Amino acid sequence: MVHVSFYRNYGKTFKKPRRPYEKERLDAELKLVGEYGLRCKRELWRVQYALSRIRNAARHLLTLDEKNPRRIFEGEALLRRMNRYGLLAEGQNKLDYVLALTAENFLARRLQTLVFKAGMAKSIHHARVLIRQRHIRVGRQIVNVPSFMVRLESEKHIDFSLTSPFGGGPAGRVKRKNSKRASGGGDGGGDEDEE
Amino acid sequence: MTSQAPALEILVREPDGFSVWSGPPYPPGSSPPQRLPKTPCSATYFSRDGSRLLVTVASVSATVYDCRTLSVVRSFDLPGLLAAALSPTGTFLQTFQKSSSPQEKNVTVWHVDTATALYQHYQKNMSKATWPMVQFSADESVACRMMTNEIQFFDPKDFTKGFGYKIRLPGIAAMQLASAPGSHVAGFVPETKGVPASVQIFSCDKDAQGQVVARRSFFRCSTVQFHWNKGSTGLLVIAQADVDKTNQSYYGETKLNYLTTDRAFEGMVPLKKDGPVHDVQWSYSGSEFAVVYGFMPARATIFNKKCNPLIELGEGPYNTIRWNPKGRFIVLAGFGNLPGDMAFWDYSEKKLIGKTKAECSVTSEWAPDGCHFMTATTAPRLQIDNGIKIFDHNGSLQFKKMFEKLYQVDWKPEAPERFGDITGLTTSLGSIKIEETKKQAQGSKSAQASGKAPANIAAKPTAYRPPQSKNSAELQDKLFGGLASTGGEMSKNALRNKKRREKQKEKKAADASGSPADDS
Repeated sequence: MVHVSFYRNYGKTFKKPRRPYEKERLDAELKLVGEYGLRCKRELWRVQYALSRIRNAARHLLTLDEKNPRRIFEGEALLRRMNRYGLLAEGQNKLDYVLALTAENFLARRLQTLVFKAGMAKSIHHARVLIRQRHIRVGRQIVNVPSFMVRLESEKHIDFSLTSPFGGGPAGRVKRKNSKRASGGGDGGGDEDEE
Repeated sequence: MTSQAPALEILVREPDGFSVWSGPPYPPGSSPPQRLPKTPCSATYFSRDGSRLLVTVASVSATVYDCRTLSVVRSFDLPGLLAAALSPTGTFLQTFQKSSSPQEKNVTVWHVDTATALYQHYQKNMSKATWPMVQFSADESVACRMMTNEIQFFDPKDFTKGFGYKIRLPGIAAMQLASAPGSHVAGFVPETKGVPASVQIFSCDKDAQGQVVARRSFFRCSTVQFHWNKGSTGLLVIAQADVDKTNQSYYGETKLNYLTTDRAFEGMVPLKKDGPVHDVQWSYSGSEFAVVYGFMPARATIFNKKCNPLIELGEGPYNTIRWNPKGRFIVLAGFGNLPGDMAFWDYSEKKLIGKTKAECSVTSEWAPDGCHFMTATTAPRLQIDNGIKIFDHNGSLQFKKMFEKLYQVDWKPEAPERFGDITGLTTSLGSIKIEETKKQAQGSKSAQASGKAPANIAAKPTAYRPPQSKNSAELQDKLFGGLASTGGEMSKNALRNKKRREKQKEKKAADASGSPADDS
């Protein structure tokens, strides 16, 4: 008998490819992993799985009649979500455009890519490091997760966090130790100017 | 224009000297009257408010003229003169002379009226980016200069005291003082290893003592350009990098950031197209700015102070923006390596007024009264086809003059408030406003001419009717006439196409009802 307090819903978030050693697929996946700075193939398969579920939903809705209340309601909701996350542009407000989405659209909305594109990091890998090391905030919230899907209106609020040395906060542990050592350790911590 | 409005003047500099003409409108067929005959010189600059004119002869002398009477106020003999700059109201003159020894102080700030040297200082060499050494606010109440690691403020009433207080900013490489009013100053610290480049805004108050008002950090930046607005509330920063890390452009990348002094917004301006930022200009009122961005054909958008997009001006081969000083019009132009298309927009009505071409132009500027727009082809950039063209505010060519060789053409700056509103266009726009929506239906030719119409917010471009068309009553008749007869007076081809379309529609309806096919 299942113990109720240990019961939690969970499901898979990725799907392994059917053929393991297909040259073109391997090349294409490696290219995307390198371009978007992903950690492993699983991160890419996760995005592809999410995309395939959205496409299935859109395809199913398109088979329904145009005036079907279910099609209208769910179609609008799906399109609103796509617009909100910046996956569809303003003029593309129809279900057919959802079928034309690709994994790259999704990968371009990750926080890691947007931090790089905004010029806040030197490279895509530097962006991942900055995010993981808690230098980046979206709005007022520090976001630690490189695969955070950034909403369209949050995009202009990506900035260095206020506690980070890059965003006006005090220097970090290593710098403080070095400056203390450099100043001879006489008075506690040579007070460096903020940079 | 009111009777008190000052006359426009144009300064023209050719290889043998400069002359000042009085401004348009010119009666047709005559050459513009000269106010000052040709005087030899090597460079000329107006002071920012247009009251004084500085004329330099390289390595010899600098002369300051008063613009209203065009008489010499003061002449300075400066051997080895390399650069000179006039303060915004023309009270102070900064000069840089070639110096042979550290004992000789070669940067001097002179007081023009009394010809006394107020402040002198030795500087080994100068670069164009750091000249003029002392930056003044528009009313000359604040003066500051950038030294290594700090910004020093002078008291403009008494330069001889030296600098009064300073703001410390280690590593500062570029600075700009907000000029109207001079309440804030922006400094740029470039990127060092590990530490991002940053732009910081400080208040110019003595009591603020180096407190940062707003800051923004970014990597991937080697130089910046600052654009303060009128009122000093907002700063636009274009960060340029020489190498494009996203591998999209050979020429490097540019990013547009926006900072406000009340910290309401600190961030990147959201631009919908990838590519470099070609031009960004604040309007003369300081409450909105226009950006031209993206790989060609570039998009143009006008944003308000809160960085929300107000109007999309569509796409086209443009890389320059010129706001009209009276505020209602804006010109998008493609100069430089583009063929010279110019589009005149009425920003408040959100309509395209006119489109024209000015090939091979180098400089372009609105007249201070907002009624004329002058483009010029000048010499060091282009050696042939030098000349001036003056357009009026809806894009029709008014005056053209070619020269053998032309070095510089400028309007004499005036405060736009001294001129009246541009009345000509307002009345005619009012008369054809009612017909606007109907005209869109019939103006197919005009829609093609205006190219890609701007997206959702802007109104569809309508056929351009010149404001001074004598038969405007007849025009309205024509428009009304066109309306009423859309049912009956269509051309033969149009009728035939209409019939064909109706037949197709009937066929489709029959098919759909016959078999449940999907559409869309």
